[in-house]
Amino acid sequence: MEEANVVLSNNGDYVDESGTIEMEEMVNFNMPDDIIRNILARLPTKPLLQSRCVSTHWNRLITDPYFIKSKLRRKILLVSPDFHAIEDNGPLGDDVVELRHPNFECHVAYYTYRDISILGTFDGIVVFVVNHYNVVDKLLSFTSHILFYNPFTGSSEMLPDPYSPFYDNEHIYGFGYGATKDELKIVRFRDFTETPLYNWNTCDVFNLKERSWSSSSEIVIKRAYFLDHVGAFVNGFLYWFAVSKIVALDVKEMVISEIRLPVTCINTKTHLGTLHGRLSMITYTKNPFEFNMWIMKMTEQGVKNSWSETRLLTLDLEVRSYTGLEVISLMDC
Amino acid sequence: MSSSSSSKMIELRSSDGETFHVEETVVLQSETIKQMIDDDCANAAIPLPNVTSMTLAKVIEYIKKHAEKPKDDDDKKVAEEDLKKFDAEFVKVDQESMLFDLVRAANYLNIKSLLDLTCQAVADSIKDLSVEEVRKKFNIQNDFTPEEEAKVRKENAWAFD
Repeated sequence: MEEANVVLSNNGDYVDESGTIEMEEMVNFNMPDDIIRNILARLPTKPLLQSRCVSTHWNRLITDPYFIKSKLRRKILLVSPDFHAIEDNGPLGDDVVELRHPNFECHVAYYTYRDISILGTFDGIVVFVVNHYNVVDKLLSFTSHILFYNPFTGSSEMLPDPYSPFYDNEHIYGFGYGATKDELKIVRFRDFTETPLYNWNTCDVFNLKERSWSSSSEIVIKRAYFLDHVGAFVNGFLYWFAVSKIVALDVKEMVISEIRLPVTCINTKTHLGTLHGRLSMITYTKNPFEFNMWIMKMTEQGVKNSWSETRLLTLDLEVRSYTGLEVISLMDC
Repeated sequence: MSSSSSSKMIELRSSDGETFHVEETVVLQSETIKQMIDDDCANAAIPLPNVTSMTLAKVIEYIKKHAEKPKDDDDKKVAEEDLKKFDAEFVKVDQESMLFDLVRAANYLNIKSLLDLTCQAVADSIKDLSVEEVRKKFNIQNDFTPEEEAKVRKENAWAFD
């Protein structure tokens, strides 16, 4: 008991005395995986990804899907009007950071504006499509870029695009992977016809692993007036909502198919998303203002054959213009 | 026995056999020790075979500071500031190994705030290091083949320079 009091009151002396011995004993830095994960989860994305090279064990810890998922869950991105990221469990609490990039600047002026769509995220990197509309000498110019952006470090990379510049924004995009998660692809369909027949006759694919573009005029989508410009990715397929149908792309095989919509869904406002790993849509009608949730069902052979519908809610609101109300997201919680 | 009237004293024994006496209210910040007390295993000295006396002394310094209760709201703000300063100074340790020992001790004793503080300090200390420096710091052998490492580095080109 006496001894303990001495140790506590002469803390400083004690440290000096045995510090060197302690160092020599500390040859083995054996740390439980829980601790390593705890430390790594606090790293900004760039040093985190670099840490994959430390050892095969660290590489396994970092690339573990659960780890990456928990890491990504820490950020909330807000695009409009300015671009912000919120780190929801950062060391200093809830920090909102305005992300800056020349392409993110928002010029609020007549006919001079930009819009940003998020194509997807991978390993802490966000893939954007940024469209700029500018009036120069009374002529409208349109530019479109694909941008990789690291919201932690602020570093970015503009994807070289051999097919740009474009003269209008008649494109739809998708981001998904083929057989394995390594095979990430950005898919873009363009409409090159003179008169708008909504035949999407050019398909550009950027393969992230090989960092290369390819283009094909064989993968075509016929007569689809798309209401979504960015597809939803579920189980190897990209889905876009078009008038009276959903267009699906098998990302591995690059084959297009179409899914019919339930009759009651046609001509309603729809939001396409994913829920419990399946394609879902939220439709809504007015008078009364009703939201319905649809989940696509599949047969055992994987054929998409029907939808199950659930009444989500009825809003007791008198909404004059229902264009002002839009479903942004349904949280899976 | 105890000169202060406040609370029961708990005896802790470090891996190298030193004993420490800490008020029960202070030591309850450790979930591990709390569990032992709840299970009635704390009548004799609690053995902490994974924590050296030097580390334990530091942990006790931390939990004592964090057990201080502000008297009123004004005092609370001052105390919060004071605690922030204390935490910042606390992780500025001379020996690098001490920080690692504290992480391990916080993990073993299950003191969440100390684990957060020390893990963040380690993360801050490695975030600007090269891969080679990180290996050295954690005493990790590079077990990649040159081809494997080149592959991971190539994939990491996305981390941008």
